[in-house]
Amino acid sequence: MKGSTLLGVILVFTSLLFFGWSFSYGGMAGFVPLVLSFPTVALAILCLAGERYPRIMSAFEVSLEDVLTSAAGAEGSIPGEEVQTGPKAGEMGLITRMFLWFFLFGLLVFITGFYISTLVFALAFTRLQGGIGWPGAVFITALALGFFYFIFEETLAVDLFAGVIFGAFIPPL
Amino acid sequence: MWEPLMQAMGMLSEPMNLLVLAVGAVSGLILGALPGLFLAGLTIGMTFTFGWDAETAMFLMAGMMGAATEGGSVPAILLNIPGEAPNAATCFDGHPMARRGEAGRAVGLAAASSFLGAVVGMCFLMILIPFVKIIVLSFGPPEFFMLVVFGLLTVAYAARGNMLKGLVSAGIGVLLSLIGFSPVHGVLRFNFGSDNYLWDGIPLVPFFIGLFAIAELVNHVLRGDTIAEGGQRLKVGLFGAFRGFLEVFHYKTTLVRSSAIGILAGIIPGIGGVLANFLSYSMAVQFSKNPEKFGTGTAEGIIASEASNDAKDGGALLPTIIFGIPGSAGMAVLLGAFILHGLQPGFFFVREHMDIVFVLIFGFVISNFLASLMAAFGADILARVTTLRVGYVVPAAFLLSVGGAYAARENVWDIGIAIAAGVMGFAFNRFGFSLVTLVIGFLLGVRAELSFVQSLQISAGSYAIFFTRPVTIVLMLLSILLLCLPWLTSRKAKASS
Repeated sequence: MKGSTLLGVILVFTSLLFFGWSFSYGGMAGFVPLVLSFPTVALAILCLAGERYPRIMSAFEVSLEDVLTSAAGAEGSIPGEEVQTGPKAGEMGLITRMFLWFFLFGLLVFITGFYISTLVFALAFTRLQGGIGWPGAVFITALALGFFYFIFEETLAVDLFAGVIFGAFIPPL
Repeated sequence: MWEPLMQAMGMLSEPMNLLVLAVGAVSGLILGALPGLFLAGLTIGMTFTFGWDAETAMFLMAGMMGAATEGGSVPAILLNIPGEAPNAATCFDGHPMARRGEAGRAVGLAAASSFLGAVVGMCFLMILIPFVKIIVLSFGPPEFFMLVVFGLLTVAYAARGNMLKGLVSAGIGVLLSLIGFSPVHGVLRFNFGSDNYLWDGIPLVPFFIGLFAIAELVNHVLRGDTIAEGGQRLKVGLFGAFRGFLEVFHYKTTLVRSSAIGILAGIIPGIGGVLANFLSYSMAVQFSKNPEKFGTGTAEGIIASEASNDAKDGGALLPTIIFGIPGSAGMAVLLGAFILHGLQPGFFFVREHMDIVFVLIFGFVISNFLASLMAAFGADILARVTTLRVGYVVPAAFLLSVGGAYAARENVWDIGIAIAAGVMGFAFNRFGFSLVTLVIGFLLGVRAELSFVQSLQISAGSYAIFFTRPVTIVLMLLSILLLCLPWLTSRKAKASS
C-alpha cells in the first residue's frame, strides 16, 4: 500500500471514529462533534478515492497562492525549495530509522531519565546516524547535557524526569 | 490608547526585556537563515517562555519573528537559497548583484528594506486598531462562528497544494481540539480511556513541537549532509552594505508600494509572505522604467521582495490579535503563545491587553532594526551557519525539542505526544496535507464550538440566527463562494480550452 493511501485510510478511520463516538454523548455535547465530523469523513473518503481516481484530486488543485503567484509571473518552484512528493526509493528505511531513534529516546527517558538517555542518544546518534567523529559527538553530548542542566534545571527550574528505575513519579494517564 | 502605549514603553526600558528581545532577534536571525528550521525554533522558543510574564514572552516571540525574514535574505543573496520561503524573490536580483561583486550592497539594500517595510507594516497596524475595535464590537457569537468557518476555508484554499487535503486537515484539527473535558457541556469527550492526561485536551506545546520541530528534523536528514547546500559563497564588504542601506531611499515608491502589498497579503488568512513576495516583485517589474534589468541584479527587485515580506507581519498580526484567526503557521505559534500565557485574542484582548499589542509592535520594529544591523555586519558568518552538518544540528535540535515539550508541564507523557505529533506532522507534510490548516483548526475548534452553542442559546435554539444577521450572511456567502471555487475554476478552464 502506498504511503499516501495509508494516510488516507488512517484519516478516514480517525474521522469515522469521532463520528461514531459522537453518538455516545447526549445533546449538544454530541451534536457539535457529529456535525463537524460528518463533512470531515466525507472529505477524507473523497481524498482516499482521489488516490484511485486522480481526476477527483485534480478538481481540487486550486490554490489562491498558486493562482496569484503564477499571475505575478513567478514560474516554477521557489529556488532552493524541494517539492514535496512521496518517499523516494530507499527513503522509507531512513524515515523509519529516524522515528525509531526518536521513539527509543522517549522510551529511554521513561526508563532512565533525561541525563542518561541524553548521554546515550547524543553519542549514539551523532556517531552512528550523523557520521560525526568522536570529538564532535562528545562536544554535542556535552552541549546537550550542559543545556539540560544549566538552562532547564538551573535557570528555568524544571524538575527533569529521573526515570522509573530511579523511582520517578509517573503521572496518571 | 496612550496609557498602554506608555506601559509598553516602560516594559521596553527594562533591561531584562531588552535582553530577551535581543536574544530573540539573534536566534530569529540565525534560524531564519537556516532553511526550514525557523518554525521549529520558534516553537521551541515558545516553550521557554512558560512561567514568564506574558510581556517578556511576547518580546521573545516578536524578537524571533521580526528577525527571521531578514535572516533569510542573507543566504538568498549569498548562496541563492532563501532561508525562508518569503525570501524567494530576493534570490532573483540579490544573488546576481552579489555575483557581480556587490554582495555588500545587496545585503545593505535587503536590510534597510526589511526594516523600513516592518516600520510601515507596524504603523499601519497602530493606525488601524482603533477602527477595527469598532468592527469587533459588532461581532457576537454567531458572527464569530461564521468567521471561523470562513477563516478555515480561506486558509484551506489559500495554502499551497490541494484544497481538498487542506479541508481534511482543518477538519482533523477541529476534531482533535474537541478531545478532553468540555466546560461548555460538562462532559469528558473522546478521551481514549485517559481520565487524567487528556482532561485538558491534547497539550498544545508538545503537539506543536512534534508537528513543526520533530517532523522538520526528519526532513532535514532526508535532504542531505548540510542544512543548505549552496554554490560559491560571496564576501560582503561593509562599505557596500552601508551604501546599500542608504540607497533604499532613492526608491521610495517601490518601498511604499511593496509594503502596502505585504500588509494586504498579511491580512488575508493563509496568503502569507510567499505570495506577498512574488506579487510585490511582479508589480515592481510592471511599474519600473527599466523592467528588462530585473533578474540581473537590480536594487528595485531586492527592495520589492524584502519590504513586502517584512511589512506583511503588521497585516498578519491584525486578524491574529483581533479575531484570534492566525493566517500562517508562524502566527499560529504566536496564538499558541497567547493561549499559553492566558491571553484570549479578540475584543477583550484589544480592550484589556493593548499593552501587549504595543509590546508586539515595538518588539517587531526593534527586532527588525537589530536584525538589519546584524545582517549587514555579520552576513558572512550567517552564510557560514547554513553549511552546518545535519549530523550536528539534528540531535541537538531534537534534544532541545524534547526538553521543551517536557518542560512546559513536567509530564513525561508529553514526550510521547511530541514524538507521535512528529510522525503525524511528517506524514501530513510529505503527502501534501496542510499543517497550517491543521493547527488553525486545532486552535479554533473549541472556540468555534463555544460560539456555536452560545449562538443557539441567544436564539433559544433557532438556527435562523446564522441566516438573519448581516455579517453572518456575508460571511456565509463568502464561504459558499470559496467552496464553489474549484468548480468555477474548472469550468473557466474548460471554457478557455
